[in-house]
Amino acid sequence: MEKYSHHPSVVAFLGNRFLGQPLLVKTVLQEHLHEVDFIEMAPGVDGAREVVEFAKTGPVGSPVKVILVDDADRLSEPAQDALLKLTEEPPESLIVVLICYDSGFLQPALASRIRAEFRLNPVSLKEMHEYASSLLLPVSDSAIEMACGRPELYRLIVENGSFEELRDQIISAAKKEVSILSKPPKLILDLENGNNKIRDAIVHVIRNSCKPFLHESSISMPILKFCGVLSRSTSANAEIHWSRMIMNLLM
Amino acid sequence: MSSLILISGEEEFLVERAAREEAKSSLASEIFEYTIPDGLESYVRDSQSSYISDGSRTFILWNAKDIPNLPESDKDTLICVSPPGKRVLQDKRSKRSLTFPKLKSYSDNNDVIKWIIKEGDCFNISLTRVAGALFVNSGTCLRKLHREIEKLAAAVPPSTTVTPEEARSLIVFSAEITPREILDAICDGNTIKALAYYDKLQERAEETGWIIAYMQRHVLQQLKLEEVLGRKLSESDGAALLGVHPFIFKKLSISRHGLWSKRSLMSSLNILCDLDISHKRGDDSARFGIESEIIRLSEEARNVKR
Repeated sequence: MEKYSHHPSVVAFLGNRFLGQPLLVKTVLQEHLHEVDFIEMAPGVDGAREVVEFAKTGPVGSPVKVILVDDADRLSEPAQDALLKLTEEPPESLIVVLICYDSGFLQPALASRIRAEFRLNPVSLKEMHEYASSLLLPVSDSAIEMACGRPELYRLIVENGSFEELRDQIISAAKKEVSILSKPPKLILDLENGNNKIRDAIVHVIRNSCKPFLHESSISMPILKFCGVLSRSTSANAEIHWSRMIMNLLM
Repeated sequence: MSSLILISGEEEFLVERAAREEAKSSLASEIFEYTIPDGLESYVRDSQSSYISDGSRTFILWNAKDIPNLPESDKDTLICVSPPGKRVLQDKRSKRSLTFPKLKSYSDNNDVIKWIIKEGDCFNISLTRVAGALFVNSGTCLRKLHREIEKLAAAVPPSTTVTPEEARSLIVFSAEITPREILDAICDGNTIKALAYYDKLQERAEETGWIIAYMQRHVLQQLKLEEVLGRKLSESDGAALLGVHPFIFKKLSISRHGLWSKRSLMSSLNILCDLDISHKRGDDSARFGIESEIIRLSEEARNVKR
C-alpha cells in the first residue's frame, strides 16, 4: 500500500453476492493496515454518520485509512447521500471500498465517484472443492452443487444444514408433488424480518435448484415472484408467500 | 471460573423469560445480549476484555447451538440460550441447566391449562374457573396468555378466584375491535358491518398490515380446509394439519367452509399477497385494495348463504 502515492479514493468490488468480497477485502487489508485505521460501515444513516466522523482524522498506524461499505447498493438514500458528501472531496489519506452486488441501485452521483472497479466471478468446481476442503467442516458435494461457484454461499449452506430440505421441497413443488398442507421448509418458517443474507441465500438456492423447470412460465412465474418478494420485501411474511407460490404451482 | 447457565426448549416464551430472570438474579452491573452467529465476534471481544468497574457482567447468548469460551472474569456469568427446538444444550461446566419442553395441549392431558392455573397462582389469583376459556381464546401462545393473565391480575383484587364474567368482560375489553370482527362480518355476508369495523379499526392507527395478515391467514386456512375435507380426515387430524384446536376447527373452520369457491379463494390469496407487498413498500393504495377485497368476499359469502 505504501507503494501507491496516488491511490484511488473510491474503489468498488462488483459481482454476484456470496463470492466472498468482504472476506477478501478484509484479509488483504489486515496484512497492510493497522486495525485503528479501518472501519466497516454499519447499515443505515447512523453508520454513515459514524464513518464521516471516522474520516475527519488522519491515519494513526498506517499510511491510509479505509472505510469498507458492504451491501452499498442496499444503503438507504440518506446513507448514500452522507457517503456522497464524504467522497466528493475525500481526504488524501482515505480510501472508501464499496461492495456492490447490484450497482444499478447505487445513486448515479455516488457511482461516478468510483475510481477503480474489481469484478469477481463465480469460482470453478475445482476451486470450490479446494475451498470446501480448507474449511474445518466435512466437504458436502450437494452444498457445492447448490452454491454454484459461490464460496460464501457454500459456507452458509454447510453451517446452516436446512438448505437441503429447502432444495428438496422446491423441486417437489416445481414437479407439483406437494400439497398445500405440506409444512413449509424450516428456513422459511424461521426467517426473520430483514435477515438479508439468509434471504439472498434462499433465493439463490431456490433459483438454481429450479433451473431445469424455469422454461415453463406456469412454474417459473410463481417461483420467481416468491424470490422477488424474499429479496426486496424483507418484512413480508415468507410463510404466507410460500403457500401462495405452492397454491399457484398446483393450480 | 465464571458461571455458566444453559437454557433450552421449545417454549420460546418460557425460555426467554427464564434467561431474563437468570440475568436479573445474577445481580450483574451490566447485562449484554448477543444473537449467534452474528454477535459471536462481539461476545468474544467483550467477554475477553476486562471490565472497567468492580461490578460483574452477565452475557446472554441467544440462538447458541454450542458453548463458546467462558468470560475471562470469575465474577461474570454466561447464559446460553439454545434456538427454539428439541435440542438441549449440555456442558459439564454449567452451574444450572434449564429445559422447557413444548407444553402438551391434548384434550385429555392439557399442560397449557395447568400452566395457566400455575401462572395465576404466581400472580396471586385463582384461574381455575376460567383457565379453559383462556385457552380456547388465546390458544397455546404462552406469551399472549401471559399478557391476558397479567391484565386479569391487575383488574381483580389479590387472592380472588376470577369468574368467567370478569374474564369475559376483560378479554372482550382488551380485544376491542380486531380484524377478527371484520372477518366474522365477512363470513356473515354483512358488508356494511365489515366496512364499519374496518373504518373503526383504521381510525385507531395504521392497521392495514394487521388486517391484511389476518385475512391472508383466513383465506389460506380455507384453502387448506378444502384439501383436508377432500382427504376425509378425522376432526383431530384435520385440526392438527390446519394448526388449530379441534374445537376451533369444528366451530369455526368447518362452519365457514363453502362460502367461497376455490377459485375465488385463490384469487383472494394472490390479491392479498400483492397488497401485502405494496403496503410494506409504503404504497398507500393498499388501504383501498383491502377494502374492495372485503366487499368482494363478503358479497360472495352473502350470495352463498342466500
